[in-house]
Amino acid sequence: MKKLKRAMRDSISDVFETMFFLPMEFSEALGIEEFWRFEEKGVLTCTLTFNGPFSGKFILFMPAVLAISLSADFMGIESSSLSKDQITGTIKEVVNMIAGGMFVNYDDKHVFDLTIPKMSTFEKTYKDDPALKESLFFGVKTPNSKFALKIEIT
Amino acid sequence: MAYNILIVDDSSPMRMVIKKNIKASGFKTGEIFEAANGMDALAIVKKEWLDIILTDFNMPGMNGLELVSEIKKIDTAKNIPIIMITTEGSQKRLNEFTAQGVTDYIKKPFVPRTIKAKMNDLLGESDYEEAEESDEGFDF
Repeated sequence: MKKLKRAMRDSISDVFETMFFLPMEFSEALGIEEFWRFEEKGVLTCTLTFNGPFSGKFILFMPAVLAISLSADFMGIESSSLSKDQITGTIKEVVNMIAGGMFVNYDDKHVFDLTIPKMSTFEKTYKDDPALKESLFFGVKTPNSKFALKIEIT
Repeated sequence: MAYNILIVDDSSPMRMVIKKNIKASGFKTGEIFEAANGMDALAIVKKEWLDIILTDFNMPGMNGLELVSEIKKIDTAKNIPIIMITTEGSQKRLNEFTAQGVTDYIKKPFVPRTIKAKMNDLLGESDYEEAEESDEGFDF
């Protein structure tokens, strides 16, 4: 789990520093409740499942305000001009890049098949999957906001 | 010479970012076609003259590798250079790309100069002065 955690941290840093030039720092919080007293309203969630030597799910939790700001920076357009599809498209791309990067960092000898990321709802993703064996939580603070990622291994 | 380019990605933000990168790279572009899936891409491949194709790997329906396989069956298109843009980088997957006829690949996340370098390798032509100016002004 330590290697996986390191691989995930490196991938998150790589994606946000390379594609978004966003300074960030990791929180030591161990779970969503501790990291973020979630106000469900305005939190976007996106999931991606993976299958390989082990299987599971990635879940991204991000405030809509941060998602809009990231999307505008990513595409180089005004936030007022963004469509909902462009915002969710950017979030899905973030999850896809983080997941892909994490597996390359973790083990580039084996293939992990990634599904297409899907937007989900906070209620469906907030609580742990009953089938999960282990989970890793990553809280990330940005200058004006924060977001979180969880990996569930089933 | 102006190059006709096809960008295939189910993500409209990523298509826009790739397109901006290509324009900022300094290559003289003709038409830049976009497709959100493999079927639309194949329709464009069959209809248009293309100099290079950049395709995502992880797409719903037909993935990037399946698209390459279909393109290789088209006589008029089988020699078009294809760059796979992917988050995946396992050696086994990269070997699959090569075996299928993918010319080169770009790992996501990428910086603008990566696209410029790959395009230059494959097309061998770039206005570097213009490219440098464009890069400086490109908010990415």
